[in-house]
Amino acid sequence: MFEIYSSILGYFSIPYVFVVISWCVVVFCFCAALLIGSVLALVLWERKLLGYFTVRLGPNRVGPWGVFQTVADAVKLLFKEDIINSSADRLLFSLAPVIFFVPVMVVYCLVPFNQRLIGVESSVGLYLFFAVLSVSVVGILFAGWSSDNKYSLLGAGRAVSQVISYEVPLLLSICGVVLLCGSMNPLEIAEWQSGGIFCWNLWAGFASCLIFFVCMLAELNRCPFDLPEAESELVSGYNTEYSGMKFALFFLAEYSLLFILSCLFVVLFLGGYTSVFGSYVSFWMFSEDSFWGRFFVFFEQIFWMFAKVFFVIFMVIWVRATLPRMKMNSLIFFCWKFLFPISVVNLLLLALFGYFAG
Amino acid sequence: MVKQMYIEEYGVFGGFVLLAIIFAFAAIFTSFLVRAKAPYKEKNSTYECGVRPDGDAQIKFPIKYYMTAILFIVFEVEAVFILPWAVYFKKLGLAAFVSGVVFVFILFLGWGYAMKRDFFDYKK
Repeated sequence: MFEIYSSILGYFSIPYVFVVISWCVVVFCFCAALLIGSVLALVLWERKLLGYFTVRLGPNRVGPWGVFQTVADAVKLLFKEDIINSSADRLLFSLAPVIFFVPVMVVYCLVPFNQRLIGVESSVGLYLFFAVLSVSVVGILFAGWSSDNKYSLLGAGRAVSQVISYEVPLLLSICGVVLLCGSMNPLEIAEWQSGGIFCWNLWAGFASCLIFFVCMLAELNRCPFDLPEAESELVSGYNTEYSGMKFALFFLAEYSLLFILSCLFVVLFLGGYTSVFGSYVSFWMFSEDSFWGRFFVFFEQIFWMFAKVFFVIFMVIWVRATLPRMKMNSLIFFCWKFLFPISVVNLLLLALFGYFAG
Repeated sequence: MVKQMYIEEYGVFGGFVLLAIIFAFAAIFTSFLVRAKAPYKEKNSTYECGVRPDGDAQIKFPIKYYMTAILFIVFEVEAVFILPWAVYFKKLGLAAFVSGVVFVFILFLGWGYAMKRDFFDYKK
């Protein structure tokens, strides 16, 4: 995309520095629109699905099928009073939502939504993704400590120990995929699986896939690992004292993290933007070199990407509607005594497999 | 050419980080302009389900949390070393596999020690 953009601007002989800066702004606007749009859709979808799972209707008052419910919620949050606890550390308290939100926003530019639609194509894409993402833990710690609230402190302690514990098997399961594909570039990993459903990493790295899914739920603090936000014991966890826009930033970051980690799951294991059939439907009608072939395949890839992403998110919500919550000690126990050795053994087995197969 | 590539990759990335920070502060600032404001003493006190807050919350943590964090650093660094190993594994062949096994084995010794000392048992 950058080549097309710079060639268009180069036609008007605009200096290179301005091309890069304006490209940066364009990418950011696209990612911000995607983030807000995906969160608005996701929250509604989750509430609707949870409603159907528990034989209710879910939100259905604001607009047809309740589609404007989350928009109305967002507007409400904008006008809400911002209450800062009088004994809180005001600086850390205000910085925490920003530190939590920014890394989640930044990783949006590292995931490919089709062959061309990627903000920053980097050969160390996965590295960068997790390096940036792990900064958001600091935001949780700030929020819990600065609130001067026991619920917040306990919630933050739980959240931080859980997120950092599950990051280890998460990264090791990714190592398996990287080993199979021989690349850390998300675009190359997706291209590597372009031969249809049987070429996905899901089959060769089935154990990696399961480990990644479980760790993803833990990273997101979602059921059955939602101990940091256990409503019945901790009110709301580390964001108990937050209100108004600062709470909205926490909320936005959590749901956009769900979306972007599902995207990463699709890219790593379900073939990313490539077609399920092995060849694109657009190319059945138009030749690969023709303008219309390339035009339609652009949107077809986006369609496949989002179809798979929404399937993964459906699974996550399904898990939430089905499973009860774990205990804290068994949560840490499960990660270090079971998931960690399993993921290391899985990595070595995949290395053996890679050595003999390729 | 190499320099230009870095600007296109990491220059854009750095700009993206800056814009994201501006975005977050702008969201808070917008609500600062339009939000309601009616604070009083009880509203600003610590939330403890309606009762009067009992004591300070900035207290000592259990040591188990620190242990988890220290072990996290060890094993996270392991993963950081293994990722480049995984990228070039197919080109390096058997020698890479053997050295990988040795590397992981040494780390497993540390894991066994942590296991024996009950670092992960939050009940104790």
